[in-house]
Amino acid sequence: VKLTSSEGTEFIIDRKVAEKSVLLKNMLEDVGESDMAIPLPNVTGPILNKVIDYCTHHRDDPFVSQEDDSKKVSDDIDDWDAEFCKVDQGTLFELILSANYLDIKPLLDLTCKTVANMIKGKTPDEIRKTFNITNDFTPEEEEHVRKENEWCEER
Amino acid sequence: MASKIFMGNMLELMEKILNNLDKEIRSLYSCALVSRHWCEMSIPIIWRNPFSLYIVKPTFISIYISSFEDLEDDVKSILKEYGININFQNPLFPYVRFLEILSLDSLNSSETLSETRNLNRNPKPRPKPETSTETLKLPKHQ
Repeated sequence: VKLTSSEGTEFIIDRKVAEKSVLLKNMLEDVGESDMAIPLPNVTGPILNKVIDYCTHHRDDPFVSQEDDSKKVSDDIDDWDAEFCKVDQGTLFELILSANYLDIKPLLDLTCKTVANMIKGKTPDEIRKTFNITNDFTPEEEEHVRKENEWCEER
Repeated sequence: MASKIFMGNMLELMEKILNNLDKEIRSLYSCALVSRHWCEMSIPIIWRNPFSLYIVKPTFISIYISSFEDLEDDVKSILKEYGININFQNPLFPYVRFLEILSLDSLNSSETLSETRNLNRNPKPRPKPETSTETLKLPKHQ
């Protein structure tokens, strides 16, 4: 199967690897055998490369259905996946967007879990710093939210 | 620049990230204080099942009850009888609507209710309190 990234770089991958993406799987089923490259205008070459790495490594994994959300614990990431996610934040978010666009649920789950782990245990200020978020609360609003939810901190 | 996922463009993706923290209520509480958008995204997850992990605390009950939108006067007076004077100012969010699980057992623990009384500084000796199912009626979901 031939794929082209947003810059026009061509990638040739096994059909089995491509079919980890529900989007591509459906496309391939509709189109049938074809030499035409499938354009992926939303995915850059380096990101597509990473996505292909992931799908190749996990090519023999059983298919996870959309509904199966039971494996939600955020510390069950295996070593290969953890290593795979050791990328800069920009890349990580690009991977989330691509996994979402290409409809690769296990990759989307993994990358979202990784971001959730970056949030876990941090103070609001640390979260803002980590993700470069501006605090747009007025002091009154902030106090109000704090007051109504401070039971979260009670033990 | 923050990722567009965190800026409000991709709501379902941000929700998916925060859903991973549904057993980490303190982390979600931190998220709720990051910014307005983060607050709107995390509060519904915090309030989905606040009974899951923690012993229900009196401050929670006050906020919970005061977020009822149509609390009738008779219900208010039942609460008052038990010494629970809720400040019925409108809370920021309709918290009650986010609830998916209501644990009457947690709310019914006498310890919690008596603490709620103390919190409201209106102690009234009363036999073992029974949470009236009427006061705890499930919200009308819209």
